[in-house]
Amino acid sequence: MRTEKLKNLKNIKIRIFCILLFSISLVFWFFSAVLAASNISTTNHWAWNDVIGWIDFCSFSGGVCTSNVSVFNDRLEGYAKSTAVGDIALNCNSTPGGPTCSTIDFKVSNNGVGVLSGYAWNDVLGWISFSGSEGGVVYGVIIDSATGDFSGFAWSEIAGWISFNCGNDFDNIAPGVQAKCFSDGGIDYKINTSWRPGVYSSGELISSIFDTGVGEGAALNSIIWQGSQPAGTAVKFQIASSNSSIGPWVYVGPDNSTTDFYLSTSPGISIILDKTDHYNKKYFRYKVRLESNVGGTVAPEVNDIVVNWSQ
Amino acid sequence: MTRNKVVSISVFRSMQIIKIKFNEGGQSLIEILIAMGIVGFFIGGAVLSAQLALRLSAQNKNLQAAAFLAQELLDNFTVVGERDWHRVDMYGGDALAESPAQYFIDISVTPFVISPSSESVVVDGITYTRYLVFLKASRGVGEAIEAVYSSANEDPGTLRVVANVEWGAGSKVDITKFVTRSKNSKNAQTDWAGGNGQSGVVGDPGKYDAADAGIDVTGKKGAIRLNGITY
Repeated sequence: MRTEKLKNLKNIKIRIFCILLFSISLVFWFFSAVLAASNISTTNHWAWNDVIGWIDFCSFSGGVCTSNVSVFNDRLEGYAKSTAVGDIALNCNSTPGGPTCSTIDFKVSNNGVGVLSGYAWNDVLGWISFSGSEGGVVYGVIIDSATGDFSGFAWSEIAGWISFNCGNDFDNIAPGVQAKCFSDGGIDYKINTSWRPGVYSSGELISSIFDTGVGEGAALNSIIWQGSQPAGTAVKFQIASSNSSIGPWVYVGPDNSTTDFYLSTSPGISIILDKTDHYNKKYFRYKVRLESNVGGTVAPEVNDIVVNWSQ
Repeated sequence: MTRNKVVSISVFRSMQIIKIKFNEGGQSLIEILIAMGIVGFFIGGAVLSAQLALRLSAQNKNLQAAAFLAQELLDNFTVVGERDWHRVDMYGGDALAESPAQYFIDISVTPFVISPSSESVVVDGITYTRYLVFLKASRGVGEAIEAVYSSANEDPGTLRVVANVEWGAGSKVDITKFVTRSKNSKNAQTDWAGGNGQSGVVGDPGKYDAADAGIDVTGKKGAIRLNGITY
C-alpha cells in the first residue's frame, strides 16, 4: 500500500516536471518565434513544388512572420517550412537545430543584386540548388531589385523544380510545374522581400587618427553623438587608442573586447568609456557602426561625433 | 543674644600704647572660618575652571592650526593636480597598502611638486608634521564615487587624498578629499564628406580612414547614413 502511494507520488512528480518542461519549451518557442528577424512579406511568402506542395517562407501568424527567413546582401538565413517534408534550411548558421557550419558549411548566397546561388538543405529532399544547369536547362532564383519579388526555379534531385513565382515561364523548365498565375488558370503566389539590392542593414566607418596633443597621454572619458535614431535601429562605437600614431589599433568596446560595442539609447547621451582601457593615450580613433531596423526600412543618421578626454 | 561688651587690647605703636576697643557683639571665629572656607572654595573652583579653559583654548588653537595646515596641504595638492595630472599619476594610489607612502607638496619650487615623505611646520612654537596619502578610488552606478574602493570599477583619474597633520604626543587631524582629473578637452568630427583614405593623423577634419559599402557619407553633407535606406 505504502509502496503504491510512493509510486503514485513519484508519477505525480514526473508529470509536474514534464508539464513544467513543456511550458518552458512553449514559452521559449513562442519568444524565439516572435523575436525572429524576417524581411519576407507577410502576404507573399509561398513557393511551390509539384511533389511536396507549398513551401512557406514566412509562417504568418499574429500579423508577423514567425519564421526567421531573411534576405541579406550576401546570403539568405533561416529556414522555410513544408508540411510534407519539414524544415528547409537556407543557411548552416540558422538551421532548426542551431548553427551547424562547423560540421558542414552551406548557404544560399546573394550576389548583392538579388541573384541567388548555393544550396539549401532538407532532411528528406537533401540538397536544393538555387542556380545551375539541369538537363541542359539553366535555372536560378533571382530577387527583383525594384519590387523584391522572387522569381525562377530551384532544383531538388528528389522533388524536382521548386517555383518561386507563379509568373515563371514554366514551359522552358518542365511541364507540370505549378507556375501559372490566376489569370492563366493557376493560383497567384510568389515570395516577396523588403530587401533591396544596395540596401544595407549595417555599415561601419573608421575615423582618422586623433592626436590629443598631450605628450604623456590623455584619459578618454566619453563619446557622444548627435543625429537621429529611429526605433529598432542602433548606433554603436568601438575605440582604439595608442601612444604611437602608427598604432597598433585594437578597436574595443566596454569589456575591452573586439566583439562588443559601446551602445547608446539615443543621440545626445554621453556614453562613458571604460576608464582603464584608454588611460594616458596620446592618440585614438573610433569605429562607428550604424544598423537599420530589421525590415531595412529605417536607419540612424549620425551628424556629430565628439570624444571627450582629460589632459 | 549679641554681647555688647567692650574689650580693650594694647598694642605698641611708636612706643605708645594705643587702646583699641572692639564691640563684643561681632562675628564668632567659627563663622569667620566658614565664610573663609566658602570663599576659598569658590576662588579655587574659579581658578581650576580658568586653567581648564586656558588648556582647552590652547588645544583648540592647536586643532585649528592643524586643520588649517591640512587644508592648505590639500589646496596645494589640488594646484598640482589641476596644473598637470601626470605629476599625480606618478604616485598613483595604493588602496591596499597598510602603510601607504607619505608625500608632501614642496612649494619652495615653481611649479609646486609632490615630494616623498612629510614636512614639519612650526606654528606658535608647536611643531606640526604633515603629509599626504594617496588612495585609489572607484565609481559605480551613475558615475558616483564609491564609498568603498572596488578594483572592478577603478577610476584612475580620481584619487582619495588624505591630508594628515600630527603634533605633540599622538594628536592628529586628517581631512579627506576626492580629487579628479578634471582639465577636459574634446575632439569632434562633424563632416565626413571629404571621403576616405586619411589613415594617419587628422589633417582634413572632413575625411576619415575607411568605411564599408554600407556607409553613405555623401547623401547628406555632414551626415553618416546607410546606403540604400530612404531617409
